[in-house]
Amino acid sequence: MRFATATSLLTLVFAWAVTSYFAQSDAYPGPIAVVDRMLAEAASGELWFHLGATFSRVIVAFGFAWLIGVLIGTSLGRSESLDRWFWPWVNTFLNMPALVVIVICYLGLGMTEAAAVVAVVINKAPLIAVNIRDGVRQFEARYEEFASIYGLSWLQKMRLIWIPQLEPFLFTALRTGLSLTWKIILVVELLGRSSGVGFQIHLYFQLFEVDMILAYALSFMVAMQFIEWVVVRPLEQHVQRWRKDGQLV
Amino acid sequence: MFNDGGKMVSWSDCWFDDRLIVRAGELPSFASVSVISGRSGVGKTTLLRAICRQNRALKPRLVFQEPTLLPWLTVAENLRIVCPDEEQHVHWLSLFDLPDVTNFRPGQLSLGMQRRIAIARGILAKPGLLLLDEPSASLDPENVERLLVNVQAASSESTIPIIIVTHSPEDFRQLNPQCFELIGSPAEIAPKR
Repeated sequence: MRFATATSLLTLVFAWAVTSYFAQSDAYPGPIAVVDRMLAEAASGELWFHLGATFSRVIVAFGFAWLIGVLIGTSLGRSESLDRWFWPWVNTFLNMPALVVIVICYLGLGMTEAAAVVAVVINKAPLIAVNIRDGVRQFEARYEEFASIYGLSWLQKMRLIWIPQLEPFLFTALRTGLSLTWKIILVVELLGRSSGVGFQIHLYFQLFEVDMILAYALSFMVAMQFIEWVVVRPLEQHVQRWRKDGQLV
Repeated sequence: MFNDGGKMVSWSDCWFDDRLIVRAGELPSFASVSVISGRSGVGKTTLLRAICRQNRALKPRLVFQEPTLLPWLTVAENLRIVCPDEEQHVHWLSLFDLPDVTNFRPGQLSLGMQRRIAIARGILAKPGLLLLDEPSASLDPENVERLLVNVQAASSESTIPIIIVTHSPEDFRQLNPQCFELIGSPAEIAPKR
């Protein structure tokens, strides 16, 4: 499996190298040129500064979006009347283009960090809420009944019954939410921040330096994949290791 | 009256939507093990839930037909939810001939073992009344035999009154239970002849 993944990625890089070699265009630099610029930026410290700025925004914005999404999703999943009333709201925000939300937030709150974070939260929290709502609706009634008959406290129910059943949905929300959040953060930075990968992409777009645009984009993609494979997946596997022992009985 | 120190087991009419399923009643005499039988769908589980809900003073604990051991926890962790005393876990698991299962998760055990652990959990919760819902359903004769031995042990060791609902009362004959039948529609409780 790992061999297949590595081979597939190497083939993609090879295809990129070959096509860019034949293209002979500044608008389509090859992988060696891009990695070269990436290393130069890393050595100068610029890359780390802008990566750090973007990551900080991703963590703060996604943290709030996730928390608010989980709270809304849990409420809608537990209460049919709340769901009937608020579902149209969630659906409206779910279908609102990210660009519109970002522009409105910048106009309303000024070109500030807070506006950038609020824009991402408004855009992503509904997606997380929908995911969590579906998870809560799939709670097994028999575990609720067990908890009630055996007199489990609210905290025990939360820790022993609800969170374990919600884990797959929490991780799906984490993964999909995170992957969409960082893409939106780049747009947020491109439109109204003076630091971050999005800002750098905007800068080098104006200078028509495609190799620098790709250097920043690629380094950010690598960093996000690093988080996915080194943090999110091992955590998910650890938390859900019981599923290997047997499914819900 | 079925009673435990003066307390009696009774229930009011049990409805499902607009339909009366089981008429109000009570168990008319005391026994350490009582078996309530009836055909499938007559309302046995509904009755058991009603007994559980309406006799809170007796601290009833229901052991469900589908074992509700939490699959993300080990057996030891499942038992710890209702009783932190690990010596008690060891005692009851040994009595139930399940001494080496504490670190297993429910998904790694057979249905019969899960049912017996669920009964042990019910006892460890220190109930005033233990209710078993179809404990012998879907078990082969060998596992039914083990279950009977365990229920017998639970009954004699703990002195907790046990009510079993089942559609195969013959499985429990060797426990010498007091037998009742749920008959009619809406169902009513009656001594079984």
